Amino acid sequence: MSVTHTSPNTTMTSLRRRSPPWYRKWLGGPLRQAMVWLPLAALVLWTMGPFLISLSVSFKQPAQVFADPGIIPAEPTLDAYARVIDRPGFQKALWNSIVIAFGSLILTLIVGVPAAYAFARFRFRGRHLLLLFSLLPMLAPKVGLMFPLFLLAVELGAFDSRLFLIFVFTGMLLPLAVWLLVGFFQAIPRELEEAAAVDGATQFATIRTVILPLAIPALITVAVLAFREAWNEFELVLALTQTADSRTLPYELFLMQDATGIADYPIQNAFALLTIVPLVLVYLRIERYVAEGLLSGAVK
Amino acid sequence: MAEGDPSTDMASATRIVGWQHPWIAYLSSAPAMIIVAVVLAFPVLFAAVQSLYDISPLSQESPFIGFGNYIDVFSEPSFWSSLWRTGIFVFGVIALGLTLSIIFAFALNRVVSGLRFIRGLAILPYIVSSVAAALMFRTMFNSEFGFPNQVLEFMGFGAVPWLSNGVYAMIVVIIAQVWTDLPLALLFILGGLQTIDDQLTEAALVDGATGLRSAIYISIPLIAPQITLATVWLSFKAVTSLGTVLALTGGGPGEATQLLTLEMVRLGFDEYETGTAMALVIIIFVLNAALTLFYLGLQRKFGTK
Amino acid sequence: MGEVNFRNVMKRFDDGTVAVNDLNFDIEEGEFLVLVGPSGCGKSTSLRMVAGLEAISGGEILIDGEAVNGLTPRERDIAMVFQTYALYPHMTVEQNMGFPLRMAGVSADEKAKRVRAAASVLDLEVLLNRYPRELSGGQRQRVAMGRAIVREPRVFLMDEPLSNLDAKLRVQMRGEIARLQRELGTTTLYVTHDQVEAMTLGDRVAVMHDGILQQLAPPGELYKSPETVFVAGFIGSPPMNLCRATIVEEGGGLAAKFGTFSLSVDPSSIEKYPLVRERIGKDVVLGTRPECFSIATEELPENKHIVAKVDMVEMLGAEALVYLPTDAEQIDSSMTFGNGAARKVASADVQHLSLVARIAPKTVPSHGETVSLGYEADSMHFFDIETGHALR
Repeated sequence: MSVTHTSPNTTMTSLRRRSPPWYRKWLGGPLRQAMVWLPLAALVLWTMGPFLISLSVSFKQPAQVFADPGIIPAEPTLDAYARVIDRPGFQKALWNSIVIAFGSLILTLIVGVPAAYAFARFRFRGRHLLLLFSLLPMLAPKVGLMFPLFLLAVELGAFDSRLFLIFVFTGMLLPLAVWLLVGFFQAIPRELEEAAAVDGATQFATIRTVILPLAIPALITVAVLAFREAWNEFELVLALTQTADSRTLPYELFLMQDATGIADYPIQNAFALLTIVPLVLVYLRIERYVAEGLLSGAVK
Repeated sequence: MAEGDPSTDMASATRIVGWQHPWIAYLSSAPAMIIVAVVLAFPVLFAAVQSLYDISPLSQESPFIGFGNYIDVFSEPSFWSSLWRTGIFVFGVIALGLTLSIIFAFALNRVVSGLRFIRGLAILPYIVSSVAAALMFRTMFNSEFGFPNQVLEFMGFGAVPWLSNGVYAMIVVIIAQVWTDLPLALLFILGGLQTIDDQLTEAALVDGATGLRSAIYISIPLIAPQITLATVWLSFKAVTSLGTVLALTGGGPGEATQLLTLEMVRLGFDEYETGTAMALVIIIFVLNAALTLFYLGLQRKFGTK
Repeated sequence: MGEVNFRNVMKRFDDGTVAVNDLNFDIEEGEFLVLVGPSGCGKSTSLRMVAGLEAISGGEILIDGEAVNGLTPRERDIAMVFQTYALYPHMTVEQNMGFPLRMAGVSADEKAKRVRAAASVLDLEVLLNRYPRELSGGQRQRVAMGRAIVREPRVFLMDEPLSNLDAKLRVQMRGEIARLQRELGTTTLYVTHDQVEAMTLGDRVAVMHDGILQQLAPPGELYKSPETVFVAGFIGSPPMNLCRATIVEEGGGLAAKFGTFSLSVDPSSIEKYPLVRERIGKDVVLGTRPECFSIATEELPENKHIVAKVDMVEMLGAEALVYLPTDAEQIDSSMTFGNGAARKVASADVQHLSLVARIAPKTVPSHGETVSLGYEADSMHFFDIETGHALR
């Protein structure tokens, strides 16, 4: 309802009808529009720009990169991707990444779920202390752990071992996983558990048939975060591995920078994008969980 | 259950008869405890202890030298220069990161539901590894075919030697770091904005505040806690950043982007100065803690509660 | 099958509060027993101790002669309906109702048969494939009932099962629960804070207050001869008028003086409360039912009626409530009696009784009018002012 053309009298009437206040018109004005759209466009450009440029370069031949600097390649080719996939280093690293990421995800859930359930539902001596102990290390930066963990790995004979990496990544994510899961378990009404108990379920059966099915969103969140952690981790892989037998994709990508001599930009970018693709595919399906998990996890 | 019954005001702990055996709780939390202890707690303590010993590859013995390693670190000029560079880096990351996350968050907060996918896009960098991000930025900031230089040349400026000039290299590193860590900072602030009552900002509009003023005087003070959280996050990630810088510049050109973390890697893995490297680890821990306390102090002093 | 005994049952929470103290009663086989009391009186806790959702701090609970203190809920063979229904949100109605059978290891065929039988009793057949979130409050309530009956337990436990329903549905479900229990004949322990629910449903009603059982009796008896001041004040709506009164000898009989009023005590009341005779010259708690007052149409002898000015009238249609100010000291039925603390309230703190009379609408006086109220002489109630117990 327009207010500008009306007499004071009708303005009063329209106010009484709870019509949009006078400033609403201004709110929808072109200036306002620009103030919203400009930052949004900037956000999309900021986020997608590096991806698009990388994508563009990955579809070129190494020589074309310099000769044809346009965003849209004149002669797009999948050559760089073929060369990445052909590399034994890539194949091995991909396999290692898959093994280690799924290993970490599974171990995190297997170890984290019982611990979180215990903290959420049991009252035992030292509960708060232990919970604090399991959460506090969230604050320890990974760079600081590289070197001590390296020495520990050497000491244990676990240097350059995929198993040890799984173990370490699980440790890295456990505080966050426990934190998320404790919150989630606590939010499940106690009556449901009590109902299951009087319905004749054992404690284990209750967890299996009532608690876990209800906790699926939290489990997915934790799984995604654990997978991402293991899939993307670089510093600790750098510190804890040496050979192609155990190094994962980010390290392999890092090494390839030097190995390709005069920078072979297409292959590097193709490699980088290939490491991102699996996560993007997972991510697109469950963006909601990731965003929620990130927020409730707060740190890391 | 009647409200107010003592039985309802309990936390979430179960009280079912026979379901409260402490040993089940200990047993089920033990594996997590052990892993956290070995992977997280032990290394921190280990680093703290090791930093007090003189450990080097040359000698068999490693005598206790108290704070000797710290004195060594502090007497190294390279420590102070890398601390200075870390300072610039952290400051740059916070300045750019906060600015962008606040602007973007305000824009996202106004977005209609049909464009929710933009929020999803904004989080994408979160799933990119530091090395991949560094590589993408290396490509982007290539001085010959990189996009920024193309734009500059199109506008009639000369090419900028992004990665071969120390100052520019630092800028690129800061941008790359902010790019990888912005999503969470953005989500924090967006979360804060979404808790603000619309009536408040509308009241401000009625009182004559324009959009920008209402943002500065109304919204930003209200989300001070979230801004602090975003600052803590950006700072934490910047102080401990290694992968991005290592893969992007390797500390170069020269030592222009040699941060404390890279210094630590050099001491520990290249020169096998275990004791000194551990001292540096502890220094990084302390620096982190001190900065966090500083931000919280700032918020307490200037922010609204 | 299905006898429950409470033997000196006590519940103390971790913070030291005693929720239930020395509870002793028996629920007979097939009986519908209602535990009623205000919130925080320990009734829910008592029920949860039977279910095994709360540990028993002292004493014993026996089901069919066997002490169940250490048994898990699973081992007790009971079923429970929760106030929030506690339906499993990720299971369909059929799966919800079948859950107890699944846990008992009943075969799929048998399970389906029994779930269908229970569903037909409760009129749930068409809802079997729905999820709880797709059901109305009343339907959820029925599913919760269905889950309880499907396994044919020894005892039904119901914890305020109707309090989340709106008033109309509540009355309807109340009838349905009563019918179901009669048909199945399963021993039932039912907890509520609603005295109407308690009176209409229970074969017997147990009134609890402050963790202590006040009285356990059939509904009519609770109303007619309350055992304690608390029961007197709790059962009946509007509640009994309770005030401090002094027993005096008068003209060969006894009379109760309260404030400036005085009513003679009928021999039949003395017969019901024989200890009143020993309280001559002493203070007691006098209880009078609002519905036993009536507007006097003829001149009554002194001591047979009271005269007061009408303060307020609430017209309820079939009846009217008339409030009359008095200068008698009101007795709060919910306070704790019998802990030795003599009821000596500082005169400044004395609350004066606003006497309620429930009378036929035809004779309703108007505000400010002075009326004469007669009282049914044989329905006066007397309680010890120290212990709160009936004087018998």
